[in-house]
Amino acid sequence: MENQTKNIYYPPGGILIWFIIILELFTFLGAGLVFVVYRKDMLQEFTASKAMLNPIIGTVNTIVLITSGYFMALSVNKLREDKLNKSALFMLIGLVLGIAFLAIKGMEYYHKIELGIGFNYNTFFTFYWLMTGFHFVHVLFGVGLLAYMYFAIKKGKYSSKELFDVEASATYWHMCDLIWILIFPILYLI
Amino acid sequence: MMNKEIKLNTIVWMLLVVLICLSTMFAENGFKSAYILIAGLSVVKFLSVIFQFVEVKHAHVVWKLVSILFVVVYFLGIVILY
Repeated sequence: MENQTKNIYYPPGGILIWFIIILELFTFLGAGLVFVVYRKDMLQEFTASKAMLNPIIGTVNTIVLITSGYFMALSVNKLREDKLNKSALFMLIGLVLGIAFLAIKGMEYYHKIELGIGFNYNTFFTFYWLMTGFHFVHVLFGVGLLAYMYFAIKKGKYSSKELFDVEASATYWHMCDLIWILIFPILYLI
Repeated sequence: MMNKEIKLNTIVWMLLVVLICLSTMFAENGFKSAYILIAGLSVVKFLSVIFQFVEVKHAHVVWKLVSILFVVVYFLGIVILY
């Protein structure tokens, strides 16, 4: 694997997933930096709106997502050792934690909607819904991908010799971590 | 070799959890330049995930540079525009 990934055309997970990663990361980077510019212009509104978010829940959810990524990495490692049962188990834990992230985020959304804080509430929350909502959809797709990979590993479809799809899925899943690492501090902390 | 990777993954995961908690603590304290520290910690978290979990550490140098340059732009963007 190492010799292959040293080739410029074979980054971890394959070049196609990297096109997606670069596109996604730059989209969120742009949105994040525009958010910071708006924040400077509307400091009062943004400070008051940020106070309506719960950073502790956001922190817990960040840890949940990062831990999910950690188990995903372990699953790939175990697959390379042909330990299929362990690989499937770690994939399942990653999957459950991904669902937990969505559930916590869903509760946060429900609470906001209950308070009447929708997409058009103010500029801060337009950014909030756009950025976290877009990320939510990515995680939702990733959960579907992990579920497929879990059952495929269980059925023995993948092994140390045939794991490209799993590596690409893992790279996609880590992209969800990376996006969240960028947007969580911008929206919840600074 | 794989066992070493798993150990490294675990160390990086523990580091990430600590850094996530530290970021929130800095934000809650609300001192003036906390945003620089929080953005700086995000850089460390981003690089930890992309180098260890995504395994960019094994990739061609171009991918390493792209990863580093991207997160540097993120950091400078926040520091300059904040």
